[in-house]
Amino acid sequence: MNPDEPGQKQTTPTDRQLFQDLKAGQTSALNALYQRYAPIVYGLALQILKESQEAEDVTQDIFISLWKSDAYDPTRGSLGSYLTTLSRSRSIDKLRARGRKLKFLERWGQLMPLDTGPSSLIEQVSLRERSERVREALSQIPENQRQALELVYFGGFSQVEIAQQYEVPLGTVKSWLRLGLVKLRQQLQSSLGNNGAI
Amino acid sequence: MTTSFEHIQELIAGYVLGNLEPEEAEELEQLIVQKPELNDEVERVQASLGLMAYAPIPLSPPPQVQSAILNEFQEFQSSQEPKTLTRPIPWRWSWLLAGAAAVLALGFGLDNYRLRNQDASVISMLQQPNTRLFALRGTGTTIRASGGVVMDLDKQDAILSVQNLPALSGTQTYHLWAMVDGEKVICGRFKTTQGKAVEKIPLPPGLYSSVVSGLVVTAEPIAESSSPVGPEVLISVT
Repeated sequence: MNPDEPGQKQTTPTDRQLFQDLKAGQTSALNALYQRYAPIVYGLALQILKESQEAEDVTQDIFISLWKSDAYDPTRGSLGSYLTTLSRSRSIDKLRARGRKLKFLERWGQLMPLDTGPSSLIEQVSLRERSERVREALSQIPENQRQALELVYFGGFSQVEIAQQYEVPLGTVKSWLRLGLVKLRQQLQSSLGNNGAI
Repeated sequence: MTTSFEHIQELIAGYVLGNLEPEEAEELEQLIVQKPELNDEVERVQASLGLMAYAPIPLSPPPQVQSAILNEFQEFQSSQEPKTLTRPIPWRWSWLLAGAAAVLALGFGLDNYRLRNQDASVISMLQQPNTRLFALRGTGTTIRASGGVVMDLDKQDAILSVQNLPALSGTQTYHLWAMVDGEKVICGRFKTTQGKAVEKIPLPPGLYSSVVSGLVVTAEPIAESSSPVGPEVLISVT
């Protein structure tokens, strides 16, 4: 378990503290945030792009934007949500540049983070553990539903493309996606052992 | 007829996924009007979808990514703080000539007790490798004024000597500024007695390794001015 991740030790600086220090020009804060989030940002970009050089470019651009732009506002959401949303949207931009058909994915791209807020339970779990729990939750979803979700989320495929690939009606794919997401939500709730909050 | 919870969940999932039919969207809208607490569930399902971003196994990028980011960060920081530059000071022969003029000003113009006491310091400074010398000349109404400054940028000290500079009244104070990237950076403050002054001035830390293109002395209306508003009375000769 990475001791630098949030919620692990009381003495560990929070994301917000590190971000403030970063804006104040402290290199140590940049290093700490990089150690904490670069594997998540890069792992997600690589999953989408399947190409290491482009994933490296995305990672670099995102961290540089942290201090060069004022796009991230700590009072409006968690840093983790911001970075993963940015990693996904930048990676999708690059996919789009490759000429992929992304109509459906574009709609997904408009969904904002997935912001669970800094006080939510999931934010209190270490990043590594969070990653494991999400993978575990996905593994509990029926195969077709999980694959449909992953094809849309990471592959940039449309529902129509998925229907053609599986040779099933479009309505079936819509249903897979909806049921898959309902199941994911239930599994994550179960994983956290609480009565509703994620 | 009561709508089942499973059906509501599917509608919410469809809404979050953006794949609701128009009649389904209308149905969900009405349900939310009846049960506003369903908005919380919408947020949770959105959060669940967002957490898919954490599904890929975390993977550290190659080391050059962090190096590139750090380089960019340091360049950005230095560009934000032009007054605390870290560039080494290039040696120029023209400074030596300016220095000679400054030494002349110090030697011939200011034969007083304080200057004699500073002689040893000046000589010591002139022997240092990172010493800068500036001759100052009057301007405008202070055209008769002159002086010089010796800066030891390693020790962050300067010795200033001026003459024919009228004494100021009240809170008025002469301010010495260094020109760095076209901006005036405060170096120190002094007053004159009988038109003369010899001062040892500690240089601000930011000036240590800065490229100082010149010096300016202004007569400021207040003792602790942090930005120049008064007239320039002496400027360095290059």
